[in-house]
Amino acid sequence: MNNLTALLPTAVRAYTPPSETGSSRRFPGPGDDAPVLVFDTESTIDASQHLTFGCWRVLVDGKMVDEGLFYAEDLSEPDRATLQAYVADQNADAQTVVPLRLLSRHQFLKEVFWKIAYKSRGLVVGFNLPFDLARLGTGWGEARGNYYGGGFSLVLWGYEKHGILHENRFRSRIAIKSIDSKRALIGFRRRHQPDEVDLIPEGSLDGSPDESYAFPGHFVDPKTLGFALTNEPHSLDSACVAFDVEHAKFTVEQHGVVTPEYIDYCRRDVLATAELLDKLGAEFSRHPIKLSPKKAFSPASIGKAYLSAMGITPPLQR
Amino acid sequence: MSKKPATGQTAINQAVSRAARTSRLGANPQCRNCGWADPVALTRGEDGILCYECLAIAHGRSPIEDHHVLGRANDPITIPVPGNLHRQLSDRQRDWPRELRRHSHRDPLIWMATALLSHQEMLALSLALLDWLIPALPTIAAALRETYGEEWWIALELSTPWTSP
Repeated sequence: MNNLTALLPTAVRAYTPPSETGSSRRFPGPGDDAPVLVFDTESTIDASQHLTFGCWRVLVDGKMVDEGLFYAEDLSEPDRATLQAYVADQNADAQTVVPLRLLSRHQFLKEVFWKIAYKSRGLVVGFNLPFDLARLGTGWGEARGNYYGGGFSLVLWGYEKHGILHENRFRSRIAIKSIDSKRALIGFRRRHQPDEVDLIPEGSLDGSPDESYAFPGHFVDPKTLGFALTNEPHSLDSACVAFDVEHAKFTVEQHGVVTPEYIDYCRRDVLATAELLDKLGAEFSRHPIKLSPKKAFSPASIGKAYLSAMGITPPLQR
Repeated sequence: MSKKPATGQTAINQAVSRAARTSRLGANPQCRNCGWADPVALTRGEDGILCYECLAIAHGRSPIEDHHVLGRANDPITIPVPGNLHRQLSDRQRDWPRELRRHSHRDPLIWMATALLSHQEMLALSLALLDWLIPALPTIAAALRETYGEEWWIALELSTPWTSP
């Protein structure tokens, strides 16, 4: 072998073309027709950041079937009147297909949140979800257990007796454990005397209840999923730009004061979050991995899922 | 004919019922005897999933039931319908607006609205059956021609739609 034909080590780098097909319906649930609840809350601008009002929409098969506003029970009469007038005004519009509803926080939790998030095993979506869930709570404790230990255990459902608010233990608490500013573990805790149907594990083939099963819920924070997909920390505004959302976030002059413009702003946030979820779902679906989007906490989660899809065993398991 | 999709609290309540049924029955459930696939009329037993009619027959009951056309709370009028259809119709009645589901004061216009809604839902279910029946008829005709000849209706002494009064 002469100098001109010396062997050199070479390497080839390859990539796979991304799939062109995308779908936003890869989110976990009991079936393709599992409902999606998207909500957002607004709060006072003092240190307590107490709930003033919020907005929700429910989607089934990608179509909005319910929309409404909810308010804190202690919201002032003038603010409540502003909400009532806004809803009346919206519903008077002949083009309104889905009437806008107005409920108290308690009614919203009972009639919408509980039924979608727990009873229907639907998806609960909110940008920066831990903040919004905490606005709904009436109390909290320290979460226990290996998974949520060190986090918060939120009380959302209560009842009043002799003027004192008691926790309703027949409704699940929600545990939230923050990992960092972009990620949090969120799930329902066990409740007293769940109905038989609530004890049937998801994906059960024979439909038999399992006494040890507790439905954990499906909570998705687009902020977390956006980070996992881009490795960039996003605000709702920047995520809408990054993912080319049609109805991007509004801006508002003044926060914390209930005005029709501020209600529009909140509703727009919910619409933008719903559309962002679609875009994130479509983007996530292009990854040929077996990972639930609610478990995509970071780019590393997606990377690990790729390794698993390629059949590579992690070093610690070898 | 497509029914206007439910909205508001009705849509949420429907989602709850659907989720409960899906949990109990699993994905794409079917009656193990007849293949009935609408989960509204399916029940899971020890031996698998059966539809209401097959279950009634297995228990020695009639598969035909009396259906309160205008809702049990509104009017005593009933008509006999197959059990599975009864489940479907009653399920739809539960989604009626509250004003139509319970009108004890018997306002004649509300009563008429209820009757029309009931009729509309029966028609919707009947029209859905046509999706099966229309393509099936030529196949049945071909089988009859093979057995009874080209003019099978004469062999069977049947009148034709264009000669019947």
